[in-house]
Amino acid sequence: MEGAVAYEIDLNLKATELRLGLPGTDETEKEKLSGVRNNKRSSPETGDECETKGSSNGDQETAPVTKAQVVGWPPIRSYRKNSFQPKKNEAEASGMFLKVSMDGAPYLRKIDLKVYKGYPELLQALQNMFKFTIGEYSEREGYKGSEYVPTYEDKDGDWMLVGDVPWDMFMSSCKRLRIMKGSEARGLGCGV
Amino acid sequence: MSEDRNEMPEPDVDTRRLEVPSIITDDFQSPSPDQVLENVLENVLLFLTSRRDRNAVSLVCKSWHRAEALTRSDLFIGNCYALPPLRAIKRFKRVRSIVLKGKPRFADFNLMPPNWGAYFTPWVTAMARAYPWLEKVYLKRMFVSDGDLELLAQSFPAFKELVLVCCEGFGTTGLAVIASKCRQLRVLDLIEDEVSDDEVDWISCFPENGTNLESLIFDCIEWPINFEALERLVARSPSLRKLRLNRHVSIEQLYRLMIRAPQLTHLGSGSFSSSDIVAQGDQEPDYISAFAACKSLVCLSGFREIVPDYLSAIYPVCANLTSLNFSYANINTEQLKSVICHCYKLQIFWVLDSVCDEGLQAVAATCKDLRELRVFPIDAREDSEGPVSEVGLQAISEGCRKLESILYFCQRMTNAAVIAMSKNCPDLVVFRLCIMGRHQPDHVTGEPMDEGFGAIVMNCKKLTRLAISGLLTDKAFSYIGKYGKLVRTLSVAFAGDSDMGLKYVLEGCLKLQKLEIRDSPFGDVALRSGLHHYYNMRFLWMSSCRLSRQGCEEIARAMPRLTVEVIRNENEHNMDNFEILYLYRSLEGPRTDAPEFVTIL
Repeated sequence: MEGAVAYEIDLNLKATELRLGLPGTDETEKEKLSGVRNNKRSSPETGDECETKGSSNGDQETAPVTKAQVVGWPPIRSYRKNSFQPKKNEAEASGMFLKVSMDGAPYLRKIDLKVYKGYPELLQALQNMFKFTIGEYSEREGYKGSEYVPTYEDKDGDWMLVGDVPWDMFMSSCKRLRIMKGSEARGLGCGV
Repeated sequence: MSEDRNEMPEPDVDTRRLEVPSIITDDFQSPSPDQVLENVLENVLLFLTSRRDRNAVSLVCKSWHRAEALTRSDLFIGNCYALPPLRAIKRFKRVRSIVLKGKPRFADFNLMPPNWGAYFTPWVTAMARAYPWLEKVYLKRMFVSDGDLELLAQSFPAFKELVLVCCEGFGTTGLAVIASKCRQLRVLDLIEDEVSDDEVDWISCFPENGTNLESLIFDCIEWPINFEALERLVARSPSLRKLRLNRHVSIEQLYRLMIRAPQLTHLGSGSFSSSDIVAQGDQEPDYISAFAACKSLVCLSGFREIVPDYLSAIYPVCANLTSLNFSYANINTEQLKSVICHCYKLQIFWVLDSVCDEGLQAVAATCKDLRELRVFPIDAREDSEGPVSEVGLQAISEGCRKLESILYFCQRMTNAAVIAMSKNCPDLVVFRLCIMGRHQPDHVTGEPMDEGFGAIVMNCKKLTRLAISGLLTDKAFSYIGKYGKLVRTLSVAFAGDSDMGLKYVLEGCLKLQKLEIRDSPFGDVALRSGLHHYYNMRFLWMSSCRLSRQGCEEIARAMPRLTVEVIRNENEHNMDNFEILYLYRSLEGPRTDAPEFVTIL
């Protein structure tokens, strides 16, 4: 406003000041970041911040890789923030979408291993997808009496029988799946 | 505002009839001219719906005040603490619909400790006695308990519409009572509420032999519902036009509902993904036909866990859509393009920034009628990758000239793009720009964002709502104070240099109603400069600024009809250290339900 000219003694040097430190940190600000609130709506990431501004200026040489997250900023409601976290994690984790080939099928399919809680679900899904059946798994005899046998390629490049190792270990080592014809699978544990 | 005791008994007249009633009973002589005039006035006032007009009418004289009070059927209370329930009931005797708003908006972002207040209980208790013909209740940011809902269901036999927005405190128990006891229910809209799960199957509680339901919105409910019961409910609700499902409804289930309700105009599509990911081999329902059959569909939302392969199912309705909400749909540019190219009638569009600037360019190319755009961040952190920027904003401004409302989250912005929007979109009423990195300057010139926001207030002559962000000096505020003469709502965060900033706004923005400020260097001097205006405002919120307790006390002393709350952190025991100042006008003194961490000065 025009009448304000008389007040403007301050040349506002602060805005043009060069300094090291996160933008916005200022010694004279009494501003305190609010502590963690025990609020059923608060999302996990807002729990990180608790620094008081007074201590954070000048010392932060580590070029701000990630800024401390401030409560309530950006102004997005928690349920929106939380809607996408699980998705993000899935994208970051590797190897969850796997190719599945079946001998004799014209094209491959893809499945998301994370969707299944264990071998029974996975095998049922594969059977539904490719319209085949496999017998029961046993350690001694593999998939006895099956026309097809589920196998997978592990991290070392070897073809293994699905079901031998604990599920978690399988999830982390499986690179792709192949439904092998029973006749070929001799030697992988399929009973004669 | 005292009502003088009326010597004549209230005319025994149903003021909702349109003809002037031939007066009354044998006990009376023929009515005085005054009485006739008052009856005429009442019948005329029935047509007056705007509350601003009604407020003006009520100030003309006592008789008009009385007539207006008798004929006001829609009560709007923008701050539930502005007056106690009994006072409202005493003045307005024939209310059919009420709007009540509670907590201030910044409470949505965890800035306020829980249990601050805004309880519905005293209101519903008072209304249960006073307004037996209540039909509609709209609540925003209120605390509503299951008991409140029970009382509501029991007390109002003509009850038709319940809309709860951003509310909490209730669960499926309360919903079950509403469903079963409100036999006339037409609208049950739950929008962005926190609904707790008491494992009650509320969907099954609606009347068995048919319902009058026109709108059922429950997309905010985070728990699965009984789908078979929902399917039967939809089948016996022939008036249903609006249905918004939650994310636990799969696309197969959506299909089953759609074929039962092709008359829908508003659809929230649930998860939009398959419940069985390996169902590809099986016969998939013909989703495209289901959508094609919905010839009246104009508003589409949902897509909570979208599998983009299914997107093509919505093509048949795109040309009719006026509103499309993709703000939960994690889709990329190409996927958006495949849809948006058909949506030439679109007026309201909400989307995630996953579509990138190029996606927004596609929107700008097709949606020439766009009025409202909201772009939400898929990764809501300050330092994340920003897929949208000034490029998208510029494109929208050039393509969507009729734009009236925009909410835009981004990581980088330029003054040039904001200035362009101010010139290209003169109809802007709402401009909310959130540059997520605090104190971010124009990333091309390195300058503060003052000129951009200045251009907005200068060129957008209809602007009433503004949210600012980025690096801002007092200059930005001087622009707002000078040119923002119609601004009613202003949101400020991490902005300004000194008290002058706030002074400019408080002295310049004559229509300011709602001012919310956080983390900005405004102190007691600035606070004092608003004394002339606080009675005209709905509220002022200032958190993490430079206020002192004495400064706030000064305001409280100077303005007796203002409730001045200072709110501490829950763990803070020092009474002088407070985080939040929240002040608002109030007709009958401070509220009595304040929790321990709130001090009313």
